[in-house]
Amino acid sequence: MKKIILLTVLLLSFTANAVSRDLFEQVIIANVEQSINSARGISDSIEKNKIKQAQVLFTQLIVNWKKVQATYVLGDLNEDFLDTPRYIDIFHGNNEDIKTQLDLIISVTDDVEYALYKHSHKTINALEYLLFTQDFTNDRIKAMALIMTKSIQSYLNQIKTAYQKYRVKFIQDEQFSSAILLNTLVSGTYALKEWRIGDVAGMSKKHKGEADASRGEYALSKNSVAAILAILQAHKQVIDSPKYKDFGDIAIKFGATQEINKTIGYLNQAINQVMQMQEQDLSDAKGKDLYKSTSQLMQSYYSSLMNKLGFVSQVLDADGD
Amino acid sequence: MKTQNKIITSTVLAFAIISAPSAAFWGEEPNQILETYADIALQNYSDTLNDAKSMQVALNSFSKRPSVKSMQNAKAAWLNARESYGQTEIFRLSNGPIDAEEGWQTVYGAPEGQLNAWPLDENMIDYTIDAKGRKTSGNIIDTKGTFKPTGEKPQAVNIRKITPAALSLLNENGGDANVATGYHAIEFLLWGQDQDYNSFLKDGVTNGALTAGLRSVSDYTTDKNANRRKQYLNAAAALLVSDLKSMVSAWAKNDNSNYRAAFLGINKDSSKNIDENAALTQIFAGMGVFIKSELANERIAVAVLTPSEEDEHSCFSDNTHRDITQNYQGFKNILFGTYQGVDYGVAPIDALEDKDKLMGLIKSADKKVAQMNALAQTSAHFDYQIRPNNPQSKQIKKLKNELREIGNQMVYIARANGVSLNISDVTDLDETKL
Repeated sequence: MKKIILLTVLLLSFTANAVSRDLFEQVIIANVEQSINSARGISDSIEKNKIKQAQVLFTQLIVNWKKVQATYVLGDLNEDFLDTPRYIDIFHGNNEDIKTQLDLIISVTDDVEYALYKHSHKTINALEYLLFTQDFTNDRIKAMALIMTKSIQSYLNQIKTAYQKYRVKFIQDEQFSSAILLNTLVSGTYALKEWRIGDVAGMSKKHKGEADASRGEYALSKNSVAAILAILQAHKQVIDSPKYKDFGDIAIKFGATQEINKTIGYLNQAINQVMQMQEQDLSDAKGKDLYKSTSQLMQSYYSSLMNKLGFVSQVLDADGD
Repeated sequence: MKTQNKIITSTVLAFAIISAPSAAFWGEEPNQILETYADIALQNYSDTLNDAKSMQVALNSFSKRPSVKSMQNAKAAWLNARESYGQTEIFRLSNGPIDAEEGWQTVYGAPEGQLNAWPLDENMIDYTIDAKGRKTSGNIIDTKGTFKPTGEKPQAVNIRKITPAALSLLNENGGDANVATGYHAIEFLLWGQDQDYNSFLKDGVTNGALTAGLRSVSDYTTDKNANRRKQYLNAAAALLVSDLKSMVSAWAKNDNSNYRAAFLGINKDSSKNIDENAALTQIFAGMGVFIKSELANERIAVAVLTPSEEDEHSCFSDNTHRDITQNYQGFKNILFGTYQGVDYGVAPIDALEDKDKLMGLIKSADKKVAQMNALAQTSAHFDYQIRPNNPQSKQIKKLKNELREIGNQMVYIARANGVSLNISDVTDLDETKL
């Protein structure tokens, strides 16, 4: 009897590790690598004064980075990396008006490296402001943009290196990796529905009845819808991939078949809606519908799936205990 | 900061409203943890009031006979007053008299926003040197007659004479940053600007790692607006003392009609009494939100992660290291039931069976707080410690993470004392996302 139990445990453990390993390599690492490539591409394009090309690559960077951000669990693997995403992207991250600050930096003659001392001055948001509103024949603007892309690449490389360092910690414990991933998806879904959709569509608590397209995450470059789609696609990578065993399979293994199927249903519904949307649709009826879908998705994650998977709260509790 | 009140009113207040019969109703003794809390609150606010009165005397002396020495005395009195006040901040965010937004206890004026609001737009108070090196004007000091702040729907206020009432009307008139009263308004009037708005790294206004604001005493002697600054200092001090008196009266013993009596369930008006479980819920959640969302997030994380001198707490006097230290000390006072080395009785931590994790965090945070203080006194004020290339900034980030985790631990402290909280109860959902 003992042998059977041991064999079962070993088999489960092997299967579990395979799930975590595939997710780790094919989602987490792959998305970071693609983000690094996009950032490098922007940098090369700016160097060659191909600003239109840099603008196209900026969309790619957004798409790849949003996937990294949506599944970011590095802070759970090592708290030193809790704040790293904030050095790349400051949407809802602070109270600064970086546009005014960047205008000031453009207008003065201080050394550019020195003038861009704030982390927020070197983020994707700052780069978006330069790429989509400024004249790159101005050498100072070009120099500023190159510092920004270099900084973004540097932090992305730090993320990749750190993930690789903590790879074993992630893949060795199925329940731990599943719990931190699900926790990230849930908290990310709140930000998605409230800030990225609700604030624009006039559906969030803060901006109820006051739709405003300019509140979109990437309103300047008109990449807000692309960012939303990328986030939802990252969720799909984690819970519903046909290519590898994923968190959806783990949920089924733990008896949450109905719950995960329901969640996937809401996720697919939201993805289908976003696929039909243009940037301007976020602030009209389509945006409102998307808010409702993502609210259902969040409810499904939080109330249904997390409740069913008792180990998630146990792991998170133990982590904070 | 007033924004952190919202979560408390939405979760904890719900308990208070649906309150069960109080201790007095059953003829029971008040809960011992609540008694300890109330006793520390009274002593801490009494000390704070005394220190504020001493500061008021020093400001008065300075304004009567302005000199370098009397200005130094006034600054020393302000710094001393911050030591006790910093510890009282743990009583915030708990639906108590200092900042309750609803309930009968608002009769105490909920003066937190009038006492300690920040960050403030100092341009509204007095001149500064702007990002382009120009001296600003159009502020309370240099405006005679009616002053209308900028911002959303501001109301004009007659400031021909700067009085406590006028300052009270101006405070947060037009927006949260329009701070006209409290410790930080006085701080600015004593130290003046420290920040270089053009470049925090260049630090061109008052250059130096150990240099705070350098307001000249001539602002109080030969300057044409000297008398208005004196008026301002004295009016702000009077208001501050008055607000603190109100806090002492709220927590005073031998008064069966005040907040303390209601908090302990022995108010003669039983409708005011707070159920024991509701009171414990309020204070545990408040402690968690304060240390996690206010101290760790708004006061440390925003400053160090930006990095931004504007977002350090006492940015004119460079006293931020003491603000953080005393805010943290205030949390420990309640957690351990001690104040100024004196044991006040049963404490929240007593019931926690496994204290290892929490004590480990506290030991580690203690070390980092001590290091921050040591550096601030010898080589670099907080605004230099948070510079991107200063290795100390990494330690401050770690301190922030530990304080946030200590805030989370209030869930377990609460549980050990029979109170159910979850992580969202000890987190302000409106905190700056970092």
